[in-house]
Amino acid sequence: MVRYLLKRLLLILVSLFAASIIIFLITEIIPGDVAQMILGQNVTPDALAALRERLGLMNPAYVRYAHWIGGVLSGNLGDSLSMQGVGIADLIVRRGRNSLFLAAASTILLVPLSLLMGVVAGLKEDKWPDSVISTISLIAISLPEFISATFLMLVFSVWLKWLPAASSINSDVSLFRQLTLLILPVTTVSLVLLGYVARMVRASVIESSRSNYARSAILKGLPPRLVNTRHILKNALLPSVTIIAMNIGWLFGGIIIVESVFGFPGLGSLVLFAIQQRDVPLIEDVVLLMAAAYLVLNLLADIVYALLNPRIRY
Amino acid sequence: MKKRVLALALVLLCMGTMAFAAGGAPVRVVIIPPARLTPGYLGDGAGAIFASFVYDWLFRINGQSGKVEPSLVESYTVSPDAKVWTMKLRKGVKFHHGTVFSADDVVYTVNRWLDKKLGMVPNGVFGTLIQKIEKVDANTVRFTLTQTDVDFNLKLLDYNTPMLAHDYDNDKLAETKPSGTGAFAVETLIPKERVVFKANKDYWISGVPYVDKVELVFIPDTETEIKMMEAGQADVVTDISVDQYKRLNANTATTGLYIKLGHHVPISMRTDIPPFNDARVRMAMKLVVDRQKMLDSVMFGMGSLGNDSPIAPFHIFYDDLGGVRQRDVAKAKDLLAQAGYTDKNPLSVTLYCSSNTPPELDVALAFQEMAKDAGIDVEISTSPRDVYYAKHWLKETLTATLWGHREDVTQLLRLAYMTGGPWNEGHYANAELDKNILLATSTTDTAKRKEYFKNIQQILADDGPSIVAFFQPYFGATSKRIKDFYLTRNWINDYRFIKLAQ
Repeated sequence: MVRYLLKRLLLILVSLFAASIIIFLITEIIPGDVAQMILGQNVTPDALAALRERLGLMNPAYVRYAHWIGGVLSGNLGDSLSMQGVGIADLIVRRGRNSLFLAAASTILLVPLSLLMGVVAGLKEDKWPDSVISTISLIAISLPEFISATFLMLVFSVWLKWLPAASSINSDVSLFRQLTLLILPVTTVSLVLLGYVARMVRASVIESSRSNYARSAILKGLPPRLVNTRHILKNALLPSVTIIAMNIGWLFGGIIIVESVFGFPGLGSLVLFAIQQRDVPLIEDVVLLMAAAYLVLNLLADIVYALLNPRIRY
Repeated sequence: MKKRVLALALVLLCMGTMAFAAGGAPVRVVIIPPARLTPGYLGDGAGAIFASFVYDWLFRINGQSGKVEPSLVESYTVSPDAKVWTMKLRKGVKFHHGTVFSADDVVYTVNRWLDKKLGMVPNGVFGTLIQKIEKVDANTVRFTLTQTDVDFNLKLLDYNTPMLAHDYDNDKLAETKPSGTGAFAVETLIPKERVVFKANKDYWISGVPYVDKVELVFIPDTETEIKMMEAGQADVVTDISVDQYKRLNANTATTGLYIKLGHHVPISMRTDIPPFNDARVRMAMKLVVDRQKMLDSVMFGMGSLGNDSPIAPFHIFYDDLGGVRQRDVAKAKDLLAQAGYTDKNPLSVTLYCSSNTPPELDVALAFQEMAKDAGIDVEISTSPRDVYYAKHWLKETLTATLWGHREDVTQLLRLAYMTGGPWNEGHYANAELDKNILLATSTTDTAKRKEYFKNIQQILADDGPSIVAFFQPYFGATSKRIKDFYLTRNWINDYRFIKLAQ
């Protein structure tokens, strides 16, 4: 196990290195640069050249790459290019904390609910509980986030006036207030994932209940309750571990639309801003962090998988 | 039992969130996140709004009267040739970090614009215009210009030109801990999230500001801003669209605001190549436009009609030339026939615009419909804004591009209509026009200037390269508890006099 873990960690480092090169190449391809964004339409060639020189954009690519990686390795991420004097590390820590908070809250809500829905629907295949749950899940999947977000905001903020429409307000206040800010964005992202995870779980429950080991368990006379818990669910729930881990990764940095609609200060809207302003160091650092988050979550999923499944041993 | 606890928790939760709507809460202003906060590098209206709290300018538009007034300048004199501007500065003005505002600060700030190495936005206008800036005494400065410019003070209304302190590290601190002489000082600033301002007790207008705290919240989605206004969770929103304005104005909890502005979308024709090198064809294009109808369909009738020049009706040198051009399809057809375009050989052109810069596309579509009646076949080609600017703007035969309001309209005329101007969309060259533009910028005699401006408008209406059908207003809204908030034409909105209604 220890050897396996070391091997995986090494692999993560190699993957991150590969990711860093891809990220860097992509930022090289994006047309325009931060100097152009700052000066906008009113640009004169002289001013553009001067600003580029000042921001270090004139250095050759390998120097800029080395500078970036050196900064990451030494833990000194430097300042944002488009906002002078604003440390990237401060931005990322603050936004990352918010994103983590949102991802955690959504996961706590999502995992038990979606597993329950999936299991009930799977065990009661084609009966009314399945129809109800499947209908709900399919509606939830097919509603785009910006529609459900707008709808929730309209009902709970504009009509009922219970909840704040924007989540960026007072992010420095008590945990209790922060939770009220999270309700709408968490509900919105959970709606998307809920249906998705529940459908996956339902499918694997149905698959397991049609398997040979389930049939032989029934035939040997085991009571249905024990067949369900011992044989069907234990096997059926395994794949959901990976699915959930991947979705936590998405919640951490990929919910750009939800973050923008609610004004939620997370990593997704930070990277969107960085791309809009061609703030290359900021794009690189945030995207690398997201890549690292996916890799680590994947590793965690594999470990949990191994712990749950005696057939898998490293 | 569990249910009861849950219900109680929910009630508490709601009370917690509703509490902030009660009186005494700070004034909450919502805008999209500004790209940057450093004066000289501001890139959008949101940055201008931030600056209008923290900083002050040498001149300012008084929001209530709409007039240009000296602000950090107390009085000024202009040499007869309008090349030397001497300004007496206001005394007793303090920066938020304690320094007293003086001539040194003006010299420092202006030299930053002139410093090529800094690559600032104001360098584009002032780099070649200001020859030098000198300190005459502690409270007097003198600008020497390279050329006559009677509208120099209007150029100082640009939102990128507020006064900074010479003893403050603005390059390092402007994004996080800015210091200005404005009516509000920064208390907390979280980049791209929110700013809390506290009243600057030393502000030079005594008693101003009237509110102790203002919270500026950055929300990327304007639709969310509108919902916050509707939900009673925000007090001021600006730079909204006409339909959002209508919504908030109809709401009993909010009041819509608007001011006339010179934003316009000229449909520009290249005058150096066929078919628009023929003045008759240009005139036919102008004659097919029903200006009022276009204003009604694109802007719900809100705005002012244009007469094919960038000078809007509220400008002091506007001349209506006997009324805006009326639609005359028969005459347009006649002119087209003279130029060789008939039903069998119709005029067929492609109109280029950006897909995400409203109302460019709306104007293009309205024009396409109207041109049909005269047998002109207009095809529309759209592309995202950055692609449009890089590939099509200034190059294609026919373009529709949004132009921002400029307080100093001669600047716009020089850029866009003078022979060889850098943004001359129509590649227009008219010696008579050039002469009048130069005379209009170099004469101090108001009666004469009026004459030159009339000539400029006449030439542009009769022969010019662009169709300017209307000018857009600037929209905003406030909650009912806000009084005395004013929009201004240069985005430096007047938040200074805000009061809370009892």
